[in-house]
Amino acid sequence: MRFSAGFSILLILTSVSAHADESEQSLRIGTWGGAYEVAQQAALFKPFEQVSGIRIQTTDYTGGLEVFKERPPPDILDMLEDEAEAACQAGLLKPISHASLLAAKTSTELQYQALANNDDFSLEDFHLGVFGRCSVAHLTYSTLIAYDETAFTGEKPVRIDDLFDLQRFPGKRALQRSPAALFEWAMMAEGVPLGQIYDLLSTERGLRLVTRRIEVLRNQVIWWDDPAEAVALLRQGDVVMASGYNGRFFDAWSRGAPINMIWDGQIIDRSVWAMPKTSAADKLSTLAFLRFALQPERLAHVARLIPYGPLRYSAFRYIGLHPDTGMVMSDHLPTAGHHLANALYRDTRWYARTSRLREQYFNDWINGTVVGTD
Amino acid sequence: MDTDSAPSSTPYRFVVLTMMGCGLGTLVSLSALLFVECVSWLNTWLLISPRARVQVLDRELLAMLTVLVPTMGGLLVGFLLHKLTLEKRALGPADVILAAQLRQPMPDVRSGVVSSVASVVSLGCGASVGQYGPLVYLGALQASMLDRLKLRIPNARSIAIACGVAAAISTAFNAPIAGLVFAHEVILRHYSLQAFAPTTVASASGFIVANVLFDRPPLFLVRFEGVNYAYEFALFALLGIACALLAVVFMKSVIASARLASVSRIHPVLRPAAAGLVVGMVALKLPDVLGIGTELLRFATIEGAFGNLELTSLVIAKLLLTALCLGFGFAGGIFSPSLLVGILFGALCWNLLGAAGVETSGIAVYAISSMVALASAMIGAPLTAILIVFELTRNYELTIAAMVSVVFANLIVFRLAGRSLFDIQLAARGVDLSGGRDRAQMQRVRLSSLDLSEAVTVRPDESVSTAHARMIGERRAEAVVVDSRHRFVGLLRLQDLDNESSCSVKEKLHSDSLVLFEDSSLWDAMNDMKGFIGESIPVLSRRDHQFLGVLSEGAIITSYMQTVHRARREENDAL
Repeated sequence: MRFSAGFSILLILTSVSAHADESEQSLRIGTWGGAYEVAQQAALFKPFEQVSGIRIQTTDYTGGLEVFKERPPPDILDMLEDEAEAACQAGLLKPISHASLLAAKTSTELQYQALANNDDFSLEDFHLGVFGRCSVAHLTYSTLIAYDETAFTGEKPVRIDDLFDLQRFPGKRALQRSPAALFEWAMMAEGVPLGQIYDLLSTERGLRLVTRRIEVLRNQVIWWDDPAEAVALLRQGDVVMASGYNGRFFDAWSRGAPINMIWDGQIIDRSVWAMPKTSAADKLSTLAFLRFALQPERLAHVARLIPYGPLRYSAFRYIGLHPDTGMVMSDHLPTAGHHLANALYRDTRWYARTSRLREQYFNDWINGTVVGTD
Repeated sequence: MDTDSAPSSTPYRFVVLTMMGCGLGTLVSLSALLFVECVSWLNTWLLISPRARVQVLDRELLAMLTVLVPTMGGLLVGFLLHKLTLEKRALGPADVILAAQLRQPMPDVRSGVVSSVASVVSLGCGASVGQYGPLVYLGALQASMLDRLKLRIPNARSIAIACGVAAAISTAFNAPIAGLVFAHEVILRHYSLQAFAPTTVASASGFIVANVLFDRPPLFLVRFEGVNYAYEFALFALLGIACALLAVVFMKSVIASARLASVSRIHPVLRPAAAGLVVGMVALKLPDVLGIGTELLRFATIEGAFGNLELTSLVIAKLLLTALCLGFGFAGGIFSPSLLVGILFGALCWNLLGAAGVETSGIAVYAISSMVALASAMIGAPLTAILIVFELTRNYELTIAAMVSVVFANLIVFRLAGRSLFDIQLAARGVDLSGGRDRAQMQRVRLSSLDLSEAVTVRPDESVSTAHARMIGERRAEAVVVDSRHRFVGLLRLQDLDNESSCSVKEKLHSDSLVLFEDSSLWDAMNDMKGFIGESIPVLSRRDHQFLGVLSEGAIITSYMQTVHRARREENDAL
């Protein structure tokens, strides 16, 4: 506590000096584009600009740690939790803690009076493990398979096994050029229970089984790197199934695209806010943004526009209906009860530490060095 | 011996036994969960589990720790068991069976606690041993603490032990019915309503704690649609027979390894470390042998996860390393390694069937049938095994298939080796349970503990007439002839004498008459007495045949009847 008290005094002092040369302040935020960014603009960035006077510029970010080589990198990054963990281990991120965000209340509100609110920011209101060493999680999203309804007029794919079933569900698949999610789905299709997926993927034998399973798809895949491509490929009819994020598929569907999602085998993960170490952004304005973006109303506003689940319990009371379609948005969240029957929560620590191994195995398979055999 | 204290009222017994089941069940269940958590935490922390190992990027460090961890763990286990327990070995289900069958107290609490800690260390460091044996002991250990309360309930000790054991199994497997049956089938070995009711309560309490309070996931889920061909049941029976043969090899290996340890020059404290070193070295090549191997259990149900060579080498390595670890003094059980060896063996058999062109219903049913057939034969628990399959997989078809393998495996192992590894271990310690608890109890009653009576003693050189007079005077038909140092010489019978005779006693005595020794058991005495006609039997010291007194036929039979009655009463009491 002594540290955080000292920290906030320091913040007040720096804020006063920052206040002195108040010109056009701005924050550069790296985020994922597409429907997701549209929602963030409406729910977070624009309202924040209005109350704080700080301008927000967004830059495209599609995951990975390459972004840290930029000079300067974005001031704030919307990262996948496992990649933030890896970046934190590599010393690329500034530390964040609940205490530092809590303590920033006085200083930020002194500086940006319009941000003042009665949010007590109590730790109990946040889901367990939201605060990492260098990141704070702000929403849950789901990686899952969506399919083109018009491609399967008879039987519809409903289980994750159907991704690998080219007999019953023929056609090309759009998949992320990454072992993420695909390896888990291959294990699920082998009948491995959710609780053991990561245990088995930790072994050579498990990886062998994965390649055996994905081998059937070898000539049927169009690989994507940007999640927007997955939706586009599906909408254009280039593929019959695509892996991707539930929010983007929802967005396309709510605009009338004949897309349906297979919730069986969905992989739930979290997005986090993180601050690259080499960014020269004003500390107070970054903290002000994070405090703003983590308010229950803001989290709920995002969820109202795109079905990504908030990570504060109190936020669920604010969600409501989708503004255009009038749908009850809490029913479309990855964590909605009827989506959880066979949902895997990603082990982000394991992910962070095994990324190189999995990438290598995956690339070897793509290049044909490793061939899955029965 | 368990003394049955003054009788208490039925409502009192009802309340106390129910509370005992509920309280013990909850307590044991919590401690069993703690045990399992500690092991899993250690496995992660000490880089035993594959999920932890894969996250280590420094491969040289990993290799070093792979050898170091089981070795150092072995050192700690050796120290704990040798310095801090009275028995100087790990305690296990065999000790629990002994206490319940012979109605004797469990080993002391400190040894029990140390042994449990040693099991956590053994399992945590990746020794190739099982966790269910220590869990059974942990349950019984807590039950044994009730001994201190004077409950005034007949058979309270064995009922409490059954409760503790049932709750441990119920929690560990998430299988309350199997827990209940295990306590009766393996520990109590009889079914009385008196024990059945509280044990059920304990088992249910364990299940509630594990499932409702802590929401533990099911241990083993498997997809199985049913047996496709009728002839496969014959294959399941054959598989059971093959498992039986493997089980016999497994048992003999464990026993041989213990013998090897005792003749080896390695100091007992260092023996587990030696075994740990071997485990570590093998793990460098075959990391699958480390620990309990839950990943392997799963892989074995997936078609094509292993090659035949891989399966064969894993079956052999796991079997031998388990025998080594147990024989050389690691603390742990036999059940989980048996499950593992069994399931790998089943997968191998299925592969061979496939290679021979036999149509089957898939690998899962063969793997699981073989798994429980081998494991149940090792611990002598066919019913429990069948129920474990049922409760774990909730799959009726699978249970029926497994049942066939289980029964054949148990039948053959019973004939070839004995009821279970526990019974073989106990037999090596001089307790033979193969003839039932009555016989085992009678084998434990030493004649010296019975009341010996005085007898007329005469010297060989005394005259027959004096002997005759003394026998008449004491109203005895027999006199015992002893030498000057009170050693037994023979027996003198009244009908052989006439009071006129002047010859000496030694000319008339019977030196070949029936005698018993003080360290003989009641059971031996009953056997020796077949065809005996006479007044009483002399009892001698084993070493120098000192005459100690006589036992009448009536005294021996009374003691026999007491043992039998107590056993029957325990088996038939309702409450």
